[in-house]
Amino acid sequence: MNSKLVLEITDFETAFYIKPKDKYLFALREINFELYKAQKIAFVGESGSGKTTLANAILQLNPNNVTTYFGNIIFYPQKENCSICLDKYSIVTTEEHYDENTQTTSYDIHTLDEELLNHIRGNHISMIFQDPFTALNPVLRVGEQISEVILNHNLNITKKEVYDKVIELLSKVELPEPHIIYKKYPHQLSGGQIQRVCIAIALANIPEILIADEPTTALDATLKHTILSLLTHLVGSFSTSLILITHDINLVKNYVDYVYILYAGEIIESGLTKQIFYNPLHPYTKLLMSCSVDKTKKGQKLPVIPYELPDLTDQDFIYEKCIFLNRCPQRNNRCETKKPQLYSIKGQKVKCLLYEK
Amino acid sequence: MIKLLLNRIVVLFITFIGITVITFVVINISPGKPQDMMDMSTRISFEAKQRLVKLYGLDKPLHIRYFNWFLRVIRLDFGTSFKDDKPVLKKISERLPATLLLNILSLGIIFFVGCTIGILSAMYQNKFFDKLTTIVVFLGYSIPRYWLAILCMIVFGIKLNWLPISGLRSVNWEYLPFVGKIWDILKHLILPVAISSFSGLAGLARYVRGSMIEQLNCEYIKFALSKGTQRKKVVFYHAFRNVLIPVVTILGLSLPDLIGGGFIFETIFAYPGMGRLGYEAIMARDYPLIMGIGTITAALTLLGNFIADIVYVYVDPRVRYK
Ligand SMILES: Nc1ncnc2c1ncn2[C@@H]1O[C@H](COP(=O)(O)OP(=O)(O)O)[C@@H](O)[C@H]1O
Ligand code: SF4
Ligand SMILES: [Mg+2]
Repeated sequence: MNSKLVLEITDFETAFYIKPKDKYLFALREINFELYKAQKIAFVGESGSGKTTLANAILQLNPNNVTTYFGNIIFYPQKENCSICLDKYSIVTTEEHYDENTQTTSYDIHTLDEELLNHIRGNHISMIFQDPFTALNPVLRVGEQISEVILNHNLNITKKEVYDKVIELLSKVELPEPHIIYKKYPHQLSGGQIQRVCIAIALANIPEILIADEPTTALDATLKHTILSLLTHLVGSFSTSLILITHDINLVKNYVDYVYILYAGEIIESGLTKQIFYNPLHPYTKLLMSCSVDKTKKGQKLPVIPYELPDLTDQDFIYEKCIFLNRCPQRNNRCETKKPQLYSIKGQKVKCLLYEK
Repeated sequence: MIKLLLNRIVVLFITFIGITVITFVVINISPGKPQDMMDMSTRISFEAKQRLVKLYGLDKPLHIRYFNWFLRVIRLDFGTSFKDDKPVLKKISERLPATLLLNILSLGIIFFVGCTIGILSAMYQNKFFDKLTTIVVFLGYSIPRYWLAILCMIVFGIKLNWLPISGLRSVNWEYLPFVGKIWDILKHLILPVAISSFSGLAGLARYVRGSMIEQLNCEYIKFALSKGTQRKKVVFYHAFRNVLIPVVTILGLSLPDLIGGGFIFETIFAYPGMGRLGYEAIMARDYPLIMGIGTITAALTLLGNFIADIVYVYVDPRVRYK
């Protein structure tokens, strides 16, 4: 990928403090990845693997019992002439943030104050959520909720311009009769329609990055692909980078360029979409593939992976052993002895001792 | 929606009739008769008493009396007071403004202060402010209002001599300048309003806190934040608009308590309102006046509830557009 870097996460780690137990739950560890302009990547993992925590971390939206952060979330704004990024915050143009060689500005999202964070949210980086029925404010009109994101980031804009823009967005997400939808309340729309509204909100300011946290999980099977096609089509037309998060690996096959497999807070495998699909390496990825509905014959029971996720508060285990140890069908004696690192195999990366060189 | 409101009006009307029937029956079966007061006075002759009994039909059966009363009331004729023969309606209308003033002020304070405290304690959950208000709220719940009223009268009125403790105006009110007149009334209002709103305020603050915390955990809050909306706006606009829905209902429900409490409360403060008038009327078994006050009180309460219903429909679009 030789286009521009947009987001770079290095050695990222996050933990929740659980007060009643007086323990830390290490939700994400050793997270490293890059996102390029207009690239579409997916994070795939079962429930509890830390997908939402990762998405929230990028926009600093995690619940406030998040206590420890390690690593960096470096964002490279791409919008040229973004006055706020350039002038208002001298912080972003100081040497620290400006690289002479590549002539790029960047900053670590963790170090931003509330004001600059609000500038990034919904403008440079947007997010859409899993459950369409709780994502919108039930007492505000749909049109108002779309206008809000426009008004948040466009100071000198007239009412008429905002209205026109909302209508344009509503037609872009292929909602019929946008003037009528504008006046509706969320409970008057279907799940699919609301998810379209959410996409309109997220893309209103043509952000550099869109994070979609299980955007189709709550929708009917037939709708899933319609919404995903729309989403990837729009993202493509704006050159927005996409981080698609899902627990359903088959969903991402036709929509993304690169896949990360997340297990219990760690990336255990990553590769180009076709590598992951045609040549899965990690025992967990292989199991995921065989568990999918598509590969199971009619009448046959869906296979499940036995045992549960490891206890993420158990520091000795998660930092010393292979995270998949207790469920792995291919484990051998050596697996007990040390923790695997990510090993590179023809561009594909896998965290399993079977591939140690 | 119109159907919904029409429905409510019918229900409220039936409730209203029910309340007047019950009041009527309770007054009449409670011990003591209006004649009793006159019995004690030797100056009223037996014949005069009999005349009174006839005039008000006190010798007729209960249901006939209610029916007669009802027929007169729909013509807005509440009769005259046993005590001084003044029209009941006139006596009430003299007192009503003071009571309305007290209750509207109390409701306003309950709403604004209760919501503010509730929101702030939700925002600073388990911090000092939150813990402090939790204690105050607990006291507000558990201390009897009348006891607190007397305590405050002793402390602020008698010991510290900061505030007047009875009535609504000072004796020299007539001679004060305009601003002084208003200030004088305000001073008289402080204690009654503070105390009559205290427990309602405590309850509401507690409720708003819980409801706010619940709303702030909703996904739409995270979505609003992810749009770059300022936290202040997310709390006071997005979340509060949703908290407002149950708050309207609660305020509507607290109305009877407020007005009902007024009977004893106004008496304690010698407040020139309808409540004290009602208390005196009850003590004197002044049937027409009691019924008049009961009816007006019921009508006001139901009107308040009706307004709450309308506001409720207005703040919750899910009711408006089914
Ligand atoms: N606020 C929180 N406090 C404590 N633990 C949390 C909190 N949020 C998430 N977790 C834990 O972090 C882990 C990852 O959760 P999450 O990111 O929601 O996973 P996913 O989105 O993949 O289902 C889970 O073990 C979950 O229990
Ligand atoms: S390191 Fe061992 S236990 Fe872990 S995934 Fe590989 S084979 Fe399984
Ligand atoms: Mg999730």
